[in-house]
Amino acid sequence: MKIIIQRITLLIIVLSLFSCKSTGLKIGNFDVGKLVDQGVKIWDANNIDQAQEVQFGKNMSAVLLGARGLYQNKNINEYVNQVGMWLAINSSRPDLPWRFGVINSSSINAFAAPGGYVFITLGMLHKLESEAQLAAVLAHEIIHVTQKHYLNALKDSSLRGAITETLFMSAEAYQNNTGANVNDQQYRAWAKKITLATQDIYSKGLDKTDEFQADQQGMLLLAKSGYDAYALIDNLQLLASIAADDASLALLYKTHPTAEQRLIALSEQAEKLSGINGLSLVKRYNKRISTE
Amino acid sequence: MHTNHYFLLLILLIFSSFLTLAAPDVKHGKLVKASTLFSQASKQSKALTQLNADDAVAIYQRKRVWYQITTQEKPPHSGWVNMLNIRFVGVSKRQGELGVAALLSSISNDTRATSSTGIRGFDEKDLANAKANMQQVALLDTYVVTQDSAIKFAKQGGLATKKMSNEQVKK
Repeated sequence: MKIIIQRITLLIIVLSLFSCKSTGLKIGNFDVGKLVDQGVKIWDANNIDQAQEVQFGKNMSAVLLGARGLYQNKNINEYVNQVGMWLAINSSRPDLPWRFGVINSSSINAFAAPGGYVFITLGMLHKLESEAQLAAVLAHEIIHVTQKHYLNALKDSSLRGAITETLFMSAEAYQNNTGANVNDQQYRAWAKKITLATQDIYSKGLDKTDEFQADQQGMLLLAKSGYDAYALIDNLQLLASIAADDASLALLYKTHPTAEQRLIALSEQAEKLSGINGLSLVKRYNKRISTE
Repeated sequence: MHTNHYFLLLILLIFSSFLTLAAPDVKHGKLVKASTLFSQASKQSKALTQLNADDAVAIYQRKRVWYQITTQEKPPHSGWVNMLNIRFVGVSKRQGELGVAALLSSISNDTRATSSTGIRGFDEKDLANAKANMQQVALLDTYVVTQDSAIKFAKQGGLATKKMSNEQVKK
């Protein structure tokens, strides 16, 4: 009888542990569910390891590409990957599994997701005139990744609702950890969670400080990689010349400071790099882009 | 019309088309603040004159952070101005286009684009309607290049990693 009581007590303790707010979802030895539930008050991007960061980026990318797919031209996408990978090699995190893609949209924009995912729209690609300008767009996004801006953004109170362990899990891991059969219903539950969170994150955008840092560090990355660092200012000059209410810029301006604000913020960095020459590679850009 | 007039018109047409072909890619802008006009693309070069905010300029080329410009006043001044002090006026347009909206909506007709018919913008509504698409992520994986390939690509373009000074990397 005593043994039965002990076992019942133990069972109650175990059940009470599982009934606390943590879902207990784990990736490897890491209790993501516990971290998320304890939360948001102590959110620290450094507690997320690289594998989880990459999975987070992969999930966000799936939603982004679900909104608008890739421009399916292998030559153009490989060219963008070559430029991007060269920049990534010169970045502070060369060993991330970097992936670059062209989104089939006429809007002028570029996106990053954690873990090495970077996208540029076809509309933006067509506005550029040199490889250095393409590199400038990618460099800005690469800095968002290397500085973990999206992971750190989850600290923001308005994004707390977006934090869910599902962000850091693949559909398969979600299904396995919830003990459910691998079926369409579970996939839909996973997809719904990452979709809602990604919508929140991209619609809100990053802090302005992060955007200014991405410009300044992006110029530095361009210079270090041998490109004309001022191509980033060229891009901002182009954006500044387009009417702010132009529909093609709507999402960009909702989530970024204006080009004018960004130009003003770059004056000190422009001065620091004033003695450095870099390459523009206009001919190679026109040749590779014309392979469409 | 008299034959001589036809001849004159023909000469004018040939001359104007020559001018079009020979014209450099000139952009137009205006100063956003009072700026010094320098003789070379350097602050150490001779200061030629002081330009005023809102002065209109034609921009011919860029060298690092400097634009080579000519002012619209008479007589015009020519020299170099810090690019951050200038903003473009209007947008460079391709032939026959009315503006950026036209530029972007006509991408499918652009000679550089052959398979982008039907592309649209990308806004919050698109994001709100998005559904995770893992097939697209798998497609993205097929475009990835190796680091070795990127290094070779960089060398082909004459790109090399530059060592930056402490002052330059200081945040």
